[in-house]
Amino acid sequence: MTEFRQELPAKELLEMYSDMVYKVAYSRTGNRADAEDITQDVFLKYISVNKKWRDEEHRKSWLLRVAVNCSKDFLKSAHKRYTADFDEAPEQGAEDSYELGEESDIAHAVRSLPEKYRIPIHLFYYEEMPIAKIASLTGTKESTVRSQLSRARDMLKKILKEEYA
Amino acid sequence: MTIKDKYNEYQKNITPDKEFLDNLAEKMELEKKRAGSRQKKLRIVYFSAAALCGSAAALIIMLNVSDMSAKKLPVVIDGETVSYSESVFTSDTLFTNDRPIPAQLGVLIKDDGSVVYKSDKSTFDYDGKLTDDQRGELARTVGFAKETDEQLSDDIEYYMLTTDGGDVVKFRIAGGILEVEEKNYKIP
Repeated sequence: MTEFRQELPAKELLEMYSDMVYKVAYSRTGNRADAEDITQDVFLKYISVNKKWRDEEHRKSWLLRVAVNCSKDFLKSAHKRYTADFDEAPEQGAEDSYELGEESDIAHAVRSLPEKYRIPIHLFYYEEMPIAKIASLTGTKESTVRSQLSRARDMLKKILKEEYA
Repeated sequence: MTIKDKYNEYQKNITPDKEFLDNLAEKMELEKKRAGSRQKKLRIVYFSAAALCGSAAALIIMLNVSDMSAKKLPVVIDGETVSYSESVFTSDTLFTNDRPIPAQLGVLIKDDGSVVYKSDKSTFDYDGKLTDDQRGELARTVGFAKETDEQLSDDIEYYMLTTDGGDVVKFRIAGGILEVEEKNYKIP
């Protein structure tokens, strides 16, 4: 078992967590440039807080929490509403390799979900997080998360026109 | 293949650019050095004050200043950060209905656990981090703003505030108008 280190070099920290933070941001914003802005904001905050981490799980949870908050806040910002309506994202993202190839149907399905469903579904599917933890991270009740997940899965199923197993 | 499998397969392709990460790592290391050098300077100031005066008064000054700095940095007792508190995230917003939002924002800006960044665009960089004095001035500026229908003019200043618990508030100021939480307020 690797010994926990309070301080990590930036490169190592990014190797461990940038993917997780970026995926959360992308799941909410749907485009690369915004996801990069959010990822930068999150790690900028990490450097500034001078926090004492209890263990690796504590550090990871904190980064995830800030990533969720920054992502929610990013789209709430009036500036983004005026200049980067989410409906434009598929067009912006069309240059991204993410949207090309066989995955385009699921990419389209995920982008069709209402914003508030995207992070819960990402945390549930990809991070395999229990509902209670998603509720705590997103600041919602467990029952709300449960219904958000249920609706999101129904929508994805409908869009992808396949059986949900 | 289930929807979950499909989703996870799709997510494998969603990764940040290597160039972006290299730049970010450089910026983070730079900021670490800056933060370290700021703390070192602070310690030198305390010890210089004590050495110059060489009196009980100097000791009192040093203790007072040390106490002030302790409020700005996490207080560590027996290896535990006692000033740290987990955010409970009971709602989407940090603001309550019982007091004007600008007043609450002013308190957050002044809070020792908060970090505030300023930028001339909607993204933020380490160089934009406000000093304690600048935060105090900004808190006084926005704290008494009153709700208005007036709109922001050009030359917008963008701000991002992050709390100790990881909450984030972004707001904008232009032409004496503060915009926060989707409402506008006139700064007196």
